[in-house]
Amino acid sequence: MTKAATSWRLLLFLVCFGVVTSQCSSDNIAGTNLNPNSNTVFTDTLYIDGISAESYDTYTGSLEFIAIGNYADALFGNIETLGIFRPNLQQETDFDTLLPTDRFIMNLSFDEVTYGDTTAESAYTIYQITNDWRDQSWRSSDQVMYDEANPIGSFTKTHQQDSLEVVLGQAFVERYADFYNDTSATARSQYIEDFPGFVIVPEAGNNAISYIQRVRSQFTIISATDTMTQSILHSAYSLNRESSAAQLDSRPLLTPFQSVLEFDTTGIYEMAKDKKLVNAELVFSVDTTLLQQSLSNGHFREEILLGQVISEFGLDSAFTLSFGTIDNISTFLLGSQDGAFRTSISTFVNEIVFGTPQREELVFALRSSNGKIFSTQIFDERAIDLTKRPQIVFTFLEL
Amino acid sequence: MITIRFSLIPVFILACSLSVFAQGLTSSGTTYSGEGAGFPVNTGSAQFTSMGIQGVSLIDLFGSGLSNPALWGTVSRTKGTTGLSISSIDATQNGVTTTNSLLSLNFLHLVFPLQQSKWGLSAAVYPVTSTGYNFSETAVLSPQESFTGDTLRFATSNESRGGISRAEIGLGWLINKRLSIGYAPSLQFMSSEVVTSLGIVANDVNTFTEGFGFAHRFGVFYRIPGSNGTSDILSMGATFTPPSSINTTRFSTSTELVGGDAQTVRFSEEDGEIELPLETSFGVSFFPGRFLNVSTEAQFQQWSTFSNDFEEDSNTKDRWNLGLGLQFHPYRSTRKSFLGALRYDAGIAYDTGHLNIQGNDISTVWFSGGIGILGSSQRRSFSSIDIGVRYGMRGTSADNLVRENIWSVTMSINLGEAMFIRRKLR
Repeated sequence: MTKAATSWRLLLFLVCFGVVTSQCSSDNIAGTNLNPNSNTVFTDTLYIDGISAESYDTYTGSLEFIAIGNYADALFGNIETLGIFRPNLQQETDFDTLLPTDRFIMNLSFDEVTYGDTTAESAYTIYQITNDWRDQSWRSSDQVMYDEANPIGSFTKTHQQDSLEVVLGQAFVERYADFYNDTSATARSQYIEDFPGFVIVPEAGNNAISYIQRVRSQFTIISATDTMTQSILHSAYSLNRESSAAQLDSRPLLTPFQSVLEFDTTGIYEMAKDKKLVNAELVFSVDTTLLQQSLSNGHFREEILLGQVISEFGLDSAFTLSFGTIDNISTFLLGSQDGAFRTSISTFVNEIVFGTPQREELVFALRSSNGKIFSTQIFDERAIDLTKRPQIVFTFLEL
Repeated sequence: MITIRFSLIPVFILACSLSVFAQGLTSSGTTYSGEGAGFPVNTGSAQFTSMGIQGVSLIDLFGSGLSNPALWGTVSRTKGTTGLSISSIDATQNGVTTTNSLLSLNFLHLVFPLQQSKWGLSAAVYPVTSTGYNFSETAVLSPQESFTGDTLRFATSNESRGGISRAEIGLGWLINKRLSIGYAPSLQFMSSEVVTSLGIVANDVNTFTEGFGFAHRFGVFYRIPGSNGTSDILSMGATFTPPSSINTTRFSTSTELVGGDAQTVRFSEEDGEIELPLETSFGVSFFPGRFLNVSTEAQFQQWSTFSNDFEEDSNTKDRWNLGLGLQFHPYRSTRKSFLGALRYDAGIAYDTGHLNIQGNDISTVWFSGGIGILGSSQRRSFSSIDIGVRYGMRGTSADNLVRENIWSVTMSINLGEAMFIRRKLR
């Protein structure tokens, strides 16, 4: 091979190698004013029509809080709740026999919040339940039957009290002792089946609802020689509500889900098709003025900060609302500045535009509250101020 | 005698592969390529690019002569040529300089002599315009515009690649020893993509513009040999491409979560038309002897008639591209030395540009030079490799525009005999 031929090989190799290994780089600061793409976004607003109020009979058993009391809310109507309980049956080795004469004390621990008149004292009476119930399947409208003629205890509570001790009557202890002293293997299952527990019933004239903290409350049983505690095995509460007069341009929302807003999504497709969606924000504005004006001095209504919009319910709508196990749930956060619930529903909009949505209606409700009663008042499509109406604010990329 | 003993066929295949690969690698070219339908691309081989001309008036014994359809009738053997280039562009605006790089396919061209030195059939794929930019900036949304309720700052970027290309078939006819003509109809297609990234959106938006139309190219070439036994030759050539159009569709895609799955969805689709301008090139080449030739050529594109339905206001204007170049052929006397075996090219070109932005022509001045590595005449090889280097100055820094300094290396590989000529048995 000649020297010249070797040189050609080397030259060609270097050229090819240079081409292949060239790094394409760009810092791209200069000349951005020559960019033909605008990269700008624009917004469009779809006002939601066709809002309807719906009620769901949701689950109120085995929650963190057990609501007891009654309150005549000027905005949301008369609300009455009855708490029902079944003590645990845990037989202790050093407390082998329970006598009807032993003291059976209910140690109640309350949440610091009182819904209603925080200046008044509320009275409650405790009765033995006469019907069967299961906490897991208990719904807010389920009615509890009880032996009204034979109360087994009573107490009063003020807003300031965060705990109470209530001694339950001998009739209750005697019935509980029958199961406790039964050493057979089926005693516990027999207890759950046959021992209905008791109900705490607010006296007429009360004007406040308190929340018993399930985990922090317990039962203390004191005999002549020993003391033992039992936790709350089962709990639930019933809720009765008489609606107040409807408002002209707003609708109530309550948990448990006695009132939610359902609305169809007509118009989303037309507005969002053929565009690049950056964000779709669903906005519900709160009538904060009405909420404040409807509360008397000394009365308190806890403000909820979380809402939820649900596009798919699954088989059990009430369960979804209560416990939110379906993926298609967006959580709202109540804005502190403009008093509006806002959440992104971009995924749902894409489902409408590009897919097949499970249902074309959305449900807006307050976020599940673990037993507390939350409420708010949402402006609807009749609001005179357009900015307060329920709306979807679309942000699109200018293409 | 220097011989290119290694086979050019693998190199040719490598170059073709690199050309395809180059389309994927294309990063960003001139910052002005976002205007119109992309920046016009010169289709000349590295040899002509090094001379600053198109090559419409010059017979290239080694190259396939893509520039002028009339040249195809002059070929006596099958030829194949491909080329690619890599450019480094320093873009300066308001004292800030950024560097962009562009690796691009120039063309792929084959010519078959249907009748030697009489009829030639041509098939080619070559770009007409090229888009290759990459802009990054920060966008700001006011609280009124922002869905967060606060001022929103986010990064944006737009990266574009593609352009207009032609798939062309043509015929060249050498009518007599002096005159030849040619015609080449082509299917021209638009294929460009802009990738838009916004810091407030999870997935990129890809906007495609696709479509096709038909174009026609005519060429004429005239050669006047020296009289009375002199070796001087004067040749003239011209081409003409009438206005043409491309029916296009523009649409966008992005990846969205639909039904729990990530899907590529298509939206914002609309049809439009791109009107491409009339184009003509003409030039003269003079061979005073065996060792030297000089060429001057001009190219005119009537970009003032350009329209694009997807572009409201176009900054295009008529374009003139003027070039003057020369070639030195020392190998024709002796090829015993390394340097004496090469062909040398040099030229200068002035391109008025097809854009006028805020009253400023985006013109380019080119200085170029190159070499040709030629096959062995003893082995009757007509294969060669052309390598050229260009330096250009484009644009202006006035009115907040961009001044670009461009270094570009081009390479063409010409196959004349290795693949297509059957050798006679000795």
